[in-house]
Amino acid sequence: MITEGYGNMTTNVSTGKSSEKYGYFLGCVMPAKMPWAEKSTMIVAKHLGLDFDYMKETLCCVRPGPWKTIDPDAWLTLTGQNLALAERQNVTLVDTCNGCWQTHYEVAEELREEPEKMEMVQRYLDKYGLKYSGKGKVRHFLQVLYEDVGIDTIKSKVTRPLNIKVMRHVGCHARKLGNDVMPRYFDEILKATGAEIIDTPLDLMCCGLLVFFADPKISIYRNVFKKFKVAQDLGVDAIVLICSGCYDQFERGVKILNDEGDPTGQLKDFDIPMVHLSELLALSFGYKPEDFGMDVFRTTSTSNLIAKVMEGK
Amino acid sequence: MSEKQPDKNAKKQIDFTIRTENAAASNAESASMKSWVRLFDAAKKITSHKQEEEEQRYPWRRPFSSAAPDVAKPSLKRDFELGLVYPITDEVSGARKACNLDPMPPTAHQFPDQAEKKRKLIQDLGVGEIVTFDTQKRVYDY
Repeated sequence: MITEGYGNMTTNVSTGKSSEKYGYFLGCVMPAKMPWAEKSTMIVAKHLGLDFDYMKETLCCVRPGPWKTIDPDAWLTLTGQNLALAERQNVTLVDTCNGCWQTHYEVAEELREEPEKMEMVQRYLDKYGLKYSGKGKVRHFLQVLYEDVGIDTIKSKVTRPLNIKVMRHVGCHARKLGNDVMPRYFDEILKATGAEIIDTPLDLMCCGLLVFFADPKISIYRNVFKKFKVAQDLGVDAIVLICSGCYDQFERGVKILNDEGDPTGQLKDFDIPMVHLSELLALSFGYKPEDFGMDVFRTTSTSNLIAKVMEGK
Repeated sequence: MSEKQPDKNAKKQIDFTIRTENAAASNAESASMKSWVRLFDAAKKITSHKQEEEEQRYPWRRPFSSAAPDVAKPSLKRDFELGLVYPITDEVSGARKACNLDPMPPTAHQFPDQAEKKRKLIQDLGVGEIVTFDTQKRVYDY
């Protein structure tokens, strides 16, 4: 592993080899709403030669929004339960959801820095036969791909460059370590698939998930619908994301649009597929859409996108 | 003089402005979002205390405010009971199979022991009391 500096950030750039054992933390949304993303992530990880399997027995991450508000100690302890499971299974915990990653990352950091909190969490977990020492590692899938596998290795695996135009949605919590880390990884990996990223001034705008609980109209009409409208006006083939929380919110937006319409009048029909970065990677590696159920259980149809990718035009 | 023809090569104008300050948006502000209302209705169904009835009987009494916001109550209840926010229904299992996955994910859905540990931790931490969730009746007191 080589360490390189980018501005005031430091990132690890891969030499292309990783001997780590990874445990995929699914969270709540991925297994219930995005099976195509779950499968394609597993395919991509295996194709890249990673020792990558499911982390088992996992619970909700737990969501910082409601839980930190109810009781910060409960948030630390219940997240500690997942971190303890990762240690027991002897895996590096890997998140694809930005929200799950932020929870795991922040709790692991806080418990390392505050021995009293660590002692409290250990006391609660000990009662149920769970141990957390703080040694386990937490990684975002983007970090695994970029820092452990390496962009050159990813590029070398691309056998079917995708001739598509996409709008990206990296998500807010992926920016926690700065724009030069995960948002850049996302872009470089996405470009490696051959996809053309269309930049928009709304790329940094939040999906509105947490806002929904306070003001649903701002959350849906001014965040989701606005993004959808711009994607539609640009004529992109897909909106690409990695965060399950953002997908959950976009799915909610589509359902609201279909059930209730758009009283702001900015959006009528919306049929642009929302796809996971892993799906595009899998396609670019030569996998078929049916290998991971790309047309199954979708909020918006992927038929046109699949046809375009398979035609290769 | 011939009428000016639109330039076919002109770049399409895309409105990137985020604020929607027009009449339609104002109407939208006053309209109720049905999905939002449904969340509150779902919260009422799982709450013993009937705030509206109390307001009728005791109009001067300050409304009770729960630590669990109404809008979050349904998802928190699922979290308390399943250990996760979303269940794996038959429809989801079918979709998972169609995606070449195990119909049941290796999460607490498949390992209810972990969800049970989480429920006990929640009780130990006093969260049930804070949010007034009655695990026996499976409803919020308030």
